[in-house]
Amino acid sequence: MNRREFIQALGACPALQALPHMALAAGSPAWKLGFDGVSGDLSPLSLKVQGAVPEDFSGRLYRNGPALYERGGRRYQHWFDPDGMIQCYEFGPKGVTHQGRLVRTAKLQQEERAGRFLFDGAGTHFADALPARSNEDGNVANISIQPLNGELLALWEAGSAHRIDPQTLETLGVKHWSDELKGVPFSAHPHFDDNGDLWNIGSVPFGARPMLVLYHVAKDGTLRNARLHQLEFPGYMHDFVLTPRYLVALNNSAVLGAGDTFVDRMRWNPSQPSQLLVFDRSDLSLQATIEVPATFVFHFGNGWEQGREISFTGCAYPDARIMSDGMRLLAQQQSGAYHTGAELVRYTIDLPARAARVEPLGVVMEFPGFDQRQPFRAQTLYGSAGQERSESSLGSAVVAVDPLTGKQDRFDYGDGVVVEEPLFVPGKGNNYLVHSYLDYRAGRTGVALLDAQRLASGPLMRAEMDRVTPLGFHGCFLPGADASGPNSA
Amino acid sequence: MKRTIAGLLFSSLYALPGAAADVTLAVSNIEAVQGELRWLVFDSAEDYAADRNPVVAGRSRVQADAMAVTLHDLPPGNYAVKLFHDANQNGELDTNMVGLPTEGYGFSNNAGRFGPPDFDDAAVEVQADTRIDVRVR
Repeated sequence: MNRREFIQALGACPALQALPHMALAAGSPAWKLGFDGVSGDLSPLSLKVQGAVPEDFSGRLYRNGPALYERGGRRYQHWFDPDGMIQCYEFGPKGVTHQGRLVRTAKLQQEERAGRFLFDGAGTHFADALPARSNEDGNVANISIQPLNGELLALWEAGSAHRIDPQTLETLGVKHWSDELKGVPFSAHPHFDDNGDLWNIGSVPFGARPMLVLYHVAKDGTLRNARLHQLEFPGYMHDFVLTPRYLVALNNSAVLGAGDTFVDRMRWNPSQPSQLLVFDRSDLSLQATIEVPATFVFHFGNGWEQGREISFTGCAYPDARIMSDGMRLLAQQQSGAYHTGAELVRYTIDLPARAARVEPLGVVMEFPGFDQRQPFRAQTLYGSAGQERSESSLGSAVVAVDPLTGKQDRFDYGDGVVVEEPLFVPGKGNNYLVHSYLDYRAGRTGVALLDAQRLASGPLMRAEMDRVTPLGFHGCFLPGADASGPNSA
Repeated sequence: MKRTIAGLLFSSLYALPGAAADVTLAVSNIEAVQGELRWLVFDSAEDYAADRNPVVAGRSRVQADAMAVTLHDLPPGNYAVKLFHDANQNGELDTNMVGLPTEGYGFSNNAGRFGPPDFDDAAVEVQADTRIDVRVR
C-alpha cells in the first residue's frame, strides 16, 4: 500500500487525514498537501464556523482548479495539467458548506474508461500518449468558472468552455458558440462590460500561423461577433483588459518553439519585446500594436480611459519562470527557488502617440480582482500577496491596492497559510472580500470573509473543514440565499 | 477490387515475398456511426506531402465505431495511409475558424504528435499480407 492508498483508506475518518500527511511528509515541503489532488468528487460537508456569517452575506463561491493529479499510477508534473474540479462554498442561514465535483470533460470520461492518462498534459509528456486530433483532446477545464445567462462556464484556455449547472455542479456539455468556433480556444478570463456582455480572447499560438481570436457574447449567451487576428509572434496570452471602447491584449515574451509539451515549448525570450495589442470593441479591429519591454503577465486588473489615455494594471513577472519552473515544482511538491514574484504595475497607453508607460506600484501580488459593478473606473484592486516571503511562493496575505497611488491595506495570515484568489462581494452596508485558503500546518481548507474597507483588522469570519482540497485558480461569487443549492442535496 | 474464387483459393500464395499483398486497414475509435471513412494510400514522400497520385483511394460507409477495410494486391513497397472520417459527407476534412480539424482523422503507425507526420514516420513496409492499425484521433 503506498502513501496515497493509505491516506485514502483513512477516508472514513477525515480528522485523521492530517496526521499521515504530516508524519510521512519528512523531507518534502509542508505545503505539499495542497497539491496531493483528489481521486473523485468531494461530497457535501459542513464547515466549522469561527465568528459569524454577516446577515447581508449569502450566496455561493464557485472555484475551479486542477484536481485530479494521478491516474493508473502516473502523476502530472505541472500545475496546469490536472483535470479540473468545481468547488462550491455555500453561505446561508445554516452556515457554510462545501462540495467539489470534477468537470466531466470528454478527456476525463475517456481516461476514466481507459484507467490511465491517454493524452499529454500542458506540461507533462507521457511516452505512450495518444496523438491528439487538436488542442481540444487535452481540455481539462481547470482554470476558472464564470457565470453566463443562468449557467456557469468552466474555463480552460486552449479549448472550449464547458457548461456547468450552478445548482448541481453537473457538467451539461461543451459550450457551442457557432460551427466555425467549434474547438477554438476560449480563454479563462472573459470580462464583462457595464451592460453584462461578455468579451474574451482565444489564444492560438500553436497553429501554422500564430493567431488570436476575439469574442463578443451578448449577456443572453448568443455570439455577437468573433474575429481572427494574425499575431507577429506566438507569445503566451492568458488574460486581457476591457475598457469602455477598447480591448487590450498583451503578447507576452514567452514564445512558442520546439519541445515535448506546450509548457516546454513556451520559452522565455528576453530579446522579444512584448506587444500591447489595442482592439476597437465596436468591430474587433486592431487599432495599435505598441511594444513594451519583455515581460510575462498572467493577470490584469480592470481598465479605464481618460482623454487620450488608456490605463490598467497587471501583475508582471520579470520572466516566465513562474510557468516553466514554479508551477512545475509546485505540482511536483518540491521545494526550490521557484521564480520572482509578480509586481503590480500600471500601464498607461497614449493611443494617438502609439506609446505606453509601465510604472511599478511597489507591491508583489497575484490574482487581482475588483468591484465588477464599476468595471471601467480606476478603483481598488484586491489580490493575494506575500509571495516573496512565503514557503511555497504562493500568497499568504490578502491585499487592497490603490492603482493610482500604490497605497495598500493588507492582512497576512502568516506562515502555513496559502490564500486563494480573493473576490470582492458588495453587501448592503459593508463590502466584503471572500477567499478560500489552505492551512497546511493544520491540514484544513477553509474560507474567510473580511471587511473590504478594513483588511488589516483581519477576517470577520473563518470556516474550515477537516479535509484538504486541491489549491486552485479562479472563480466567481453569486449572491443570494437559496435553500436548494448544490450542497444541500 | 472484387476477389475471384481463384484468388481466394490461392490467397496464401500472396504471402510469399515479392508477390502482391493484401493490406487490411483496421480503423478504430470512430467518433460517431455516420458518414463515410475516406482513405488515401501513397508510396512516395512527394505524393504523400502533395496529396496527389494515391496508389489507392477509397471510401466506405461507417457502420460501427471500428471497421476493417482490405486493400487488395498491393505490390511490395513502403506505404503511408491518410484517412479521415467524413461525418457530414461533404468530401472534406472540416476545420474550424483557426484551421484545426473538427472531424476525425488518422495516419498509419498512428504517427504525428503535433500535426501530420512525415511520410517516413507514417510508412509501413508491405512484403506480405499486412494489417495496419489506425486509431482515428
